[in-house]
Amino acid sequence: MLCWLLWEDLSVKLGRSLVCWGLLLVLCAGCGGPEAKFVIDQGTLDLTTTARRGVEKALLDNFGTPHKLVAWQKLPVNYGEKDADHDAAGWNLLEGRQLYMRHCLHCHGVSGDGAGPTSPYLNPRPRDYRQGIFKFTSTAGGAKATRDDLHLILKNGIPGTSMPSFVVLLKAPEMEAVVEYVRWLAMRGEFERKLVAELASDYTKTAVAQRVKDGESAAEIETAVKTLMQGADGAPAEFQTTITDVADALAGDWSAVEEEGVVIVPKVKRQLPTEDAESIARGRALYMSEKLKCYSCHGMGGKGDGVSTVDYWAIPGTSPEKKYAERGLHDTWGNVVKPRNLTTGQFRGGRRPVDLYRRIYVGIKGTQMAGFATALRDDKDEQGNPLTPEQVDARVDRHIWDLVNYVLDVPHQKQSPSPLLPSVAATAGK
Amino acid sequence: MKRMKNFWMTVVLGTSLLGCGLAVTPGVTVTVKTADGAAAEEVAVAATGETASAGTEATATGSGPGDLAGVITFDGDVPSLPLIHGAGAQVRDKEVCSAEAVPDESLVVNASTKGIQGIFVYLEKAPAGADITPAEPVTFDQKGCRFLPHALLARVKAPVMVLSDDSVAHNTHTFPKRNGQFNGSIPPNDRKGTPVTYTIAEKEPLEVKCDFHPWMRAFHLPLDHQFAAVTDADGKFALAGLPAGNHTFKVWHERTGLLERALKVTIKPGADNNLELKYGKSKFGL
Repeated sequence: MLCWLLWEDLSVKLGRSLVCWGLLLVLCAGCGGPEAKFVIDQGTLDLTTTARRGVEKALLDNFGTPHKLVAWQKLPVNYGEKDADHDAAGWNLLEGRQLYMRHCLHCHGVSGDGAGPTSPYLNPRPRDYRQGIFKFTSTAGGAKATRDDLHLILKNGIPGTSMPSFVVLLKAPEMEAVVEYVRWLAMRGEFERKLVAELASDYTKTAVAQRVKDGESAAEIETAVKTLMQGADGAPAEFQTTITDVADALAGDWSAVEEEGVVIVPKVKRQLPTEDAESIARGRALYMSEKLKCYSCHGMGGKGDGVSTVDYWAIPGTSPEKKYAERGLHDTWGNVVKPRNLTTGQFRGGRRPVDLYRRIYVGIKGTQMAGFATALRDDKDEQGNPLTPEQVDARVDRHIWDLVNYVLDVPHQKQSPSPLLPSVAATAGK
Repeated sequence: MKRMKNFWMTVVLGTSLLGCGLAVTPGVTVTVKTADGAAAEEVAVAATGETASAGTEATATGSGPGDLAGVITFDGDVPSLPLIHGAGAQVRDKEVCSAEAVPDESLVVNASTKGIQGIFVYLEKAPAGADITPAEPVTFDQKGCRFLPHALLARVKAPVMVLSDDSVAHNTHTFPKRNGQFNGSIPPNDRKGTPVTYTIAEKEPLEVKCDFHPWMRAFHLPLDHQFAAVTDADGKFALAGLPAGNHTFKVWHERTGLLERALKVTIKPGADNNLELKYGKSKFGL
């Protein structure tokens, strides 16, 4: 309606046919701007031309473009089988793509690089899926996120961030389609990064320049990379093996977490603080213990202001070490990451007790929040009696539940009163 | 006539605008690409852990295996890097972490022999036909808020047991390229160990950090064979049981990355195989 009024108004002013042709021209150019493209990662751009083209070709062959998707069956993605309702396979990926392009790309970008048009204005930044790492998972350290983990994020959003809940916008099968598409984008990104990692030490522009400086011949390096990428004398390209290896490893990692027994589930039931009066105090003791040192990041009072947040930290992978320009902990994406302020009672990965249990048990992937189950594993009890493996597991669970009870209690703890001038304090009660 | 033209134009415009609102952008396609069957079989083999990825270069020409002994030295005046912090410095957990001075271990050169410590010398892939020894667990310790050793060789699918001889908490955070990141806390004085297991061989050593103590770092190289060594305090290394023939070694140092990306060495049967390498300060960013 508004459009129509605008149209009428403009038409009167400028002459209808001129506006018509102008608008038609815009429309012919396509809806909403240029054609969607998967961006090329900086790591790929740093390679020499021949190596970069090899990576780009591998991506195009196995993943396609946002308009011509390729459903590569090597990967554990539910692309959607041909069935009574669908006359071709791949429909689920397509459905996920369409929904993603409507609801997700504004922040997460077409490629899932977390660099959509809205992203510069957001804090924390939208997730860049391309490392294949998602922060809030129910799986052990080093393992991928499960479909359920991603589904939970879509359903509940991430409190305290710009990630909303999609429970009203998307129906259950639509959510599943989005989850598959996000997993697919994550695998695509990881595939690219891992291919680059295989080539980087020999074939980045900087590495080649260094090799030439060290006395190698530029022409020979170029021949070597050409042979690697394209094969020579009828022999298949060795890079094909790299592609297969990388894809196999990816497929293995992403399907392993969907197997039974991978998800961390408490073996001992949580005792509420009302059932176990000492639980919060024990949790607090663990929080302050040398063993866990929760306070070193989250602060003594739980405000997320521990000493780690004031250090300048080294950038991993730099040697001699380079430090980040900004103080504080940084995640694997290079963003400043703040330890949770526990006094607000707002938890990014979910507020159910089991969510907090998992944050403590497995940690937060891509950040300095380690999995603490390893530190709580004692093979003797307080009296020094040896414990069976089942007893060890049960003790770990009980310790974590104590911590959960403490963490859930932190927002309710009395804060020390604000200081007042004596004259004001004297009249305060009146 | 003009009115008619405008009418059609409006219809065209209207439908185009409607098109933008459709959930399904027209013209988007999906092509299903099958996974290569033969490749799938390969995964199964690799997953059982019975095979190491075989190299192509090593061609046995002689008879019997050979041993390689080598030394890597610093070319020029031995550099002295400043300490990371001295004894008694005001650092995190100073009772433990600055009980003794913490040196900068990013380049350790022996003052008398000029040998460089902590350089990885390895074959990326096992030579064809070589016997692969069973993978054994290795230990990775922490004392005085330093990782011991600073440069560690590991075997795929055999755990690196992370120990701690400090009375403060540490965590071990790995940054591999092919494997998944591990980040687990290590309890104080843990002499039993927390296992960290790599599932795939890495191409180059990976960084390991502790997120409690910013200066703590070390390097791991997990491989699916035993043909790798780290130079000792005198810069010496030894590799036993290499099939006779030509091999291509990688030589890696943390400040440089690859010192040698394809060092050709011919191994003769027996023990008479020696290698001397020398690198100057420009190689180490000094």
